[in-house]
Amino acid sequence: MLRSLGARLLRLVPVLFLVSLGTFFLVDLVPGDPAVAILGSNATPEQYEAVRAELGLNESVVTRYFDWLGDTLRGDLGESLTPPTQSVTDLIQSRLPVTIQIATMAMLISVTVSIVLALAAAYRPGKVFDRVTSGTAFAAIAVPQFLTGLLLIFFVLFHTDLVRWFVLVAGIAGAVLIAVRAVGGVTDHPPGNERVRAAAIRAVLALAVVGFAVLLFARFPEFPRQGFTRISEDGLWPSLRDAFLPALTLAVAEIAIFMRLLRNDLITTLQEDYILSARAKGMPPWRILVRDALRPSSFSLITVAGVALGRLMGGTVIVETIFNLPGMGTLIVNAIGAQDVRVIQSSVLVIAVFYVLVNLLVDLSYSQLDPRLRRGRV
Amino acid sequence: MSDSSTLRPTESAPQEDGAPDAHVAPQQASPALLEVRDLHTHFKTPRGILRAVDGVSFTLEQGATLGIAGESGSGKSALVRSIMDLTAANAIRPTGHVIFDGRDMTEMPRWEARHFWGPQIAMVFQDPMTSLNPVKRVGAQLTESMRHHLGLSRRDARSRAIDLLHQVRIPEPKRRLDQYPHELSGGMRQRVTIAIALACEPRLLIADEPTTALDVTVQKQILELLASLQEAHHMAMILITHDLGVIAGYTDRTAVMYAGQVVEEASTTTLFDEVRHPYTNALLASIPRVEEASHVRLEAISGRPPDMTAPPAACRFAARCRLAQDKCLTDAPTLVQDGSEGHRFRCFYPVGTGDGVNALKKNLERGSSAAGLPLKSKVTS
Amino acid sequence: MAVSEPTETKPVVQPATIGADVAAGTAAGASDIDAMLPRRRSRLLRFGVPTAVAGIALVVLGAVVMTEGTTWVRLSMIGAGLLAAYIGIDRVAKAVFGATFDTGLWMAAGWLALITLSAAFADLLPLSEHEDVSKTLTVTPMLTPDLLSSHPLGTDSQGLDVLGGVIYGARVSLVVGVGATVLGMVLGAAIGLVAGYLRGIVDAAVGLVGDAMLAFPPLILLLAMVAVLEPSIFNTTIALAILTVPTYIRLTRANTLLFAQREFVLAAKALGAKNRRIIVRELLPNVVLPVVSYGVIVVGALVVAEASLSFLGVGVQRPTPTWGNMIAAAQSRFESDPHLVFIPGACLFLTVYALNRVGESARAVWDPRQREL
Repeated sequence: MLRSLGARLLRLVPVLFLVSLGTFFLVDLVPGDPAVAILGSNATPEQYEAVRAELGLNESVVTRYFDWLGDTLRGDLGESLTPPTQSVTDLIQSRLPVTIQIATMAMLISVTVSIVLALAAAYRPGKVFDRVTSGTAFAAIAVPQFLTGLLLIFFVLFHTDLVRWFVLVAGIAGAVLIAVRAVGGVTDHPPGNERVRAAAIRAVLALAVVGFAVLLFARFPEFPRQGFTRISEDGLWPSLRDAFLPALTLAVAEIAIFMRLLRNDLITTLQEDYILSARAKGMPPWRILVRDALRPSSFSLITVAGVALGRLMGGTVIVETIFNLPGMGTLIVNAIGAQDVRVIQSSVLVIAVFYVLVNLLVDLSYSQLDPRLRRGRV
Repeated sequence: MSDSSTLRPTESAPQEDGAPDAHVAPQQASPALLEVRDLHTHFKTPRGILRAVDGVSFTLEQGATLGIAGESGSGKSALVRSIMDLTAANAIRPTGHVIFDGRDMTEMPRWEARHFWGPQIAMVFQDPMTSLNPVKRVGAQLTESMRHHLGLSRRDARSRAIDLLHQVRIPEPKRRLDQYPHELSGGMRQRVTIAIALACEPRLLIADEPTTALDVTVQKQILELLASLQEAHHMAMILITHDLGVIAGYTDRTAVMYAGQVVEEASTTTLFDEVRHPYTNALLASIPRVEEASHVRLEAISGRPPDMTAPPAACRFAARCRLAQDKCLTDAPTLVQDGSEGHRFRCFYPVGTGDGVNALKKNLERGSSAAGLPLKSKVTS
Repeated sequence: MAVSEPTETKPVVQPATIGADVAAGTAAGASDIDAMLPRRRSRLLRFGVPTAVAGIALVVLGAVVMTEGTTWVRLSMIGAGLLAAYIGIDRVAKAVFGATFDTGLWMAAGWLALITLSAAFADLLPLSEHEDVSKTLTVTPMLTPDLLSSHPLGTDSQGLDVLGGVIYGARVSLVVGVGATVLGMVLGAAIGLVAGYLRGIVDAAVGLVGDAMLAFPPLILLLAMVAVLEPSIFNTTIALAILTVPTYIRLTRANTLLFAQREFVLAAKALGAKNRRIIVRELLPNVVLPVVSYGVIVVGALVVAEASLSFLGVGVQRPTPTWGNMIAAAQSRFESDPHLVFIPGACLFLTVYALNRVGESARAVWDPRQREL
């Protein structure tokens, strides 16, 4: 386990080296004189010269790179090039948590929702629920993130009453559906205590659905159109509320992707002989689905979740712009507008390193899920 | 077992294509452990409805062993999977009756049927490489049915699991519980699946080609193990195999299946002594025998089984049968009872009878069967 | 009582069905077979034709006739009409072309054809001014859509025609999406073929560079690239092409490895064929189909990426209209005039959806690794 971790870290070194090279030479890729690009065309020669010195353009490339790398590794990312001048490290330190919070919330939402949906769809493949969710998912994948965000704003913020009533009606309809199914469903349990318990569970579930819908209808949270409250400022709840719509925006497409993938994998897994043997043991179908099929089906979900994290980190650029959040995304977009190469460079580097490290964790979590990989890696 | 003879009157099963099985089961408390009555399992396929099991009936006594033999694709596996309600999703809900210990399982609600799988009927699958969950420890797979069906505590289930592994002669049973299937050898894994099947003391064990996927050296060990466990636990067993040698060594009765139907059924000794159906005969002829000279050619059965999406309305074996006459191509034979105890077969011109001898003679004279199968005029049988 | 003795419980007559279908499969098979029957076909027609006609009528009524009606009512009518029309057309198509006819796929292809043709021949269409603000001084801004007027989809805050913008925007989307895909595909496939065939150090180096590029989240890498490039159609295309190269390298390499050990390649090698000949004559023809069929989906992703850049204001700039910058410009009046966001948005969605749909079918047929799944 430790050895494979070491081997992986070792393999990351050349990748990270290339990543640093790439971001470093970003400055040199700016067409023409970077100083002109930064200051515009009507600055004094002294100002140009100062910027060139600041960028180290007068020194050899190799010294420049290693100076930069040394500073970066010490956590010193330099000063921003355009006013207001400030420490890039501080800037990123204040912005990164916002992006991470939104990406994490989006990931949690997508994984939970997609697992529930995929299980429900795979429970009876080809039936109405499966076909509706699969079709909707395929369409949801085609909605660009900024459109999802605008749609959410349109309905949740501009037409809040519509959403509230929809929630109420959907909640009641869901509860009725649960109740109707329960009448047929409890006969799947032996009479006596077990059947009573099954009925009770369904009743509680139906009540919970209605209760949640009514609560949401009565006290619909006031999501902000713009802005963000940090956890450190006003505590957890306002921060979660403010980050909810942005996170949901990012999550919609991911839910769809995860759900389709997991559903297909579940259905493939359910054809396996070991599922037949679980059925031959008389295990109830839900239990088989969750305990026998879910884990072997989740390998490709893990891989894709790693890639999805990249989409989420990129996607935060868009939602941060739409919802005007102080994260890494708006930092980069504003820096592009101001041609502040230093900020762009540093932000891109930080995000890339973060992404690489998270993907490493994802890789390692494989072996936790699949015991066949735990010893003697191939 | 409490009194369970609340046997509902079962409406007579729908008779298909005018071929009613001449098998009348007694309605009252029969000593049979398992009775399968006119079972049909059909699958939806792109080419049409596939009749994998097409009207199979048999009974199995308490503690006895029934062998089911046949080529691959003859419906053996589909038959036992329908008995266990394990058919794939494209299966049309099987029709017919599966009566276990006097209770008709096809009419049970599913929750009730589920309480039969494990404590009453258990199954060992063909390939131990795929029939164990790769991401669950052996112990978890072994104990879950005991905990679910028998309500054992974690500790009790575990100690019973060790005992079971001991019974199936797995060394170091305690250590195995915490291993994953991929850490065990093929023979060892099949022993584990057998232990899993035995976990809730079933009264019937279904073994679906339990040795096909194993090394030849391990095959005999597993069969011997099954036989000794069957004795020790007083279980009945259904042993599915394409190997008539296994049938001869380990079963009391034998049913030979062809194209979704039972074509011959008898006690195993009777079957081997007085073969009646040409298909069984051909199967026996295709087994290499030690006593025969090495230059004797094995007789392969030429041709292929019929397309089960559109099986012929006549004898299904006629196209490949050396004895086939015109009648075989137009009429479907029914399963008839011969004089000797419970020997049933589905043939107009049974081997070893006057009719059969005449039919073969006639075909040899004209050099081909009525279906056009060319016959060498080698005098046999 | 955790586990009940099965024999003690009372028999229940009706069979329970909950969880009957644990094992999987598609239920579509049954209806396909049934639908082959002629009786079913006439029923499909009898149901399909009136439904389709009614649906289309509802759409026309909502979109053109009831111009004075409430927006919500009209939108609901159009929505319901489209749904009914789809169901009706689907039934009719299934009756005419057989039960396996994939109406959705053909509609997707139809939309792509429509959008491509109108983008290609946009200059010939009688569209009102969509680009030059100086020519729209007399046009009323913020006109609502009226299909029979000279501004069928309305005008924006500067009096520019929305339909014209959408069609010329399609031109940008398609040129950038297809151009970048082709460019990335050619580059990536060439590198992937060579790396996958030669293996060794070349493969390792290519793999490393690819890994490094994939270490950046795609949109971030894209932003880094556009940060140093002038925002133009050409530069956006180049940046998007570079973005797809590593993915194409991986895909081609994997497919090359699949074929490189096959008999026909070994035979060619044994006959003394040169590496270049083997790559071009033996490997390329086998690799090209999966790579191209994946390309359709990539076009969809790049259309989204281009729109995202325009939306963020770092892609193609005004006055050239693109779906992305149209949506960005309409954002400020989003609450009062949502149609300015939703019209280009709908075009974007439909195009990407159609590309995904067609691409998925193409991959199912042409990608050997996809087919195994």
